[in-house]
Amino acid sequence: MTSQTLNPETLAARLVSELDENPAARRILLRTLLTDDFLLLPSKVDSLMDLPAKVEGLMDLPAKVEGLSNKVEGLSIRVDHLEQDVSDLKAGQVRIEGRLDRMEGRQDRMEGRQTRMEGRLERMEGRQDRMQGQLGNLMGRNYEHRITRYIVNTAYRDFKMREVRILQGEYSSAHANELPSKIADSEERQLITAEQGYDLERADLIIAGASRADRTPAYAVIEISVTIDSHDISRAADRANTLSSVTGERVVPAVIGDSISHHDRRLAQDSGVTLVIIRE
Amino acid sequence: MTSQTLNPETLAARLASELNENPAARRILLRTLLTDDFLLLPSKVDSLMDLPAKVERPR
Repeated sequence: MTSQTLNPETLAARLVSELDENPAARRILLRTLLTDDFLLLPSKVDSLMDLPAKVEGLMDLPAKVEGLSNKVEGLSIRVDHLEQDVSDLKAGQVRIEGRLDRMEGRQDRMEGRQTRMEGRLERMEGRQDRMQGQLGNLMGRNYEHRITRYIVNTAYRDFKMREVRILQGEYSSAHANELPSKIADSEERQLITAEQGYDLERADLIIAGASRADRTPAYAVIEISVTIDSHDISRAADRANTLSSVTGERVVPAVIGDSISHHDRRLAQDSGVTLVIIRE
Repeated sequence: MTSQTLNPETLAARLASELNENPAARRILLRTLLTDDFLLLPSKVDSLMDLPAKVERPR
C-alpha cells in the first residue's frame, strides 16, 4: 500500500511516530512544509502584541486635543480682545499726543506772554520805584515846608529860643545874606575849611535868635527828614560845630522828623543832638 | 534501520515525499506538529483586530 492510498490519519500518525523518534528531522520537515513567511509569523505577531497598550496610552489623546483646542479658542478670543485694547490704546495715545501738542503750543504762547508780562512788570516796577522816589522827595519837601513854616514856635518850645529869624531855609527872609557873609569871612580867616563852609550851606534849616534863659545869642542847625536816620544826626552835629566856629556862639544841633528807630534815638541822645518828632 | 538511527535530512525528505502524495495527511500532520507559538496565533490576531475600532475617533 502506497502513501497515496493510505488513510490520511493513519499515515499522519505513523509519520508523527517516526518524527518523535528523530526530533531533528521534525524541524527539517517543518521548514520544508512551511514557507518562511509562515515560519516568521509568530515573531511578527509577538512584536505587535504591545500595540494595544500603546493604543490605550493614546486613547485620551482626542480629549487632550479637544482641551487644547478649547484653550486655543479661548486664547484666540483673548488675543482678539487684546488687539482691540491695543487699538483703543493707540487711538487714545494719538488723542493724548494731540492734546499734548496743543498744550505745549499753549504753554509756549503763555511763556511768551509771561516773558512779556515780566518785562512790563519790571518796567512798571522801575517806574514805581522812580515814582516812589519822586513822591518821597515831594513828601519830604512838603514836610520840610511845614516844619519851616512853624519853626519859630518849635524853636521857642524845643530849643528854648526867642526872637527867632531864619538864616537859611525855604523862608529865608531879610537875613538871607547874613550867614553866607559870615561863612565866607570864616573861610578867609581859616576858622573853617571851604568844604565845611560848603557843607554848612547844604543844611536844611539854620535859625538864629536869643536864648530864652539869658538872652544871649543862640543858633540852631536843623536837619529835617520824614524818617530820621544816623546820617541826619551826624550831619546836624557836624554842621552845628562848623556854625559854632563861624559864629563863636552856642549852636543847637537838631533833627526834626516823623519817625526814628530806637537805635537812632539813642544815637541822637548820645551825640547831644536835639530830637523833635512832629507827625506828618 | 529505525527512524531514530536514520539521517534526519534523509528521514525528512522521505516523509515530505509521502506527504506530497497524500495532502490530507499533510494537513493533519501539520496540525499535530505546529507548536503553541502557532496555535496561539488566532487569539493574538483577534486581539489586534479590534484596534481600529479603539483608535477610531468618536463622532
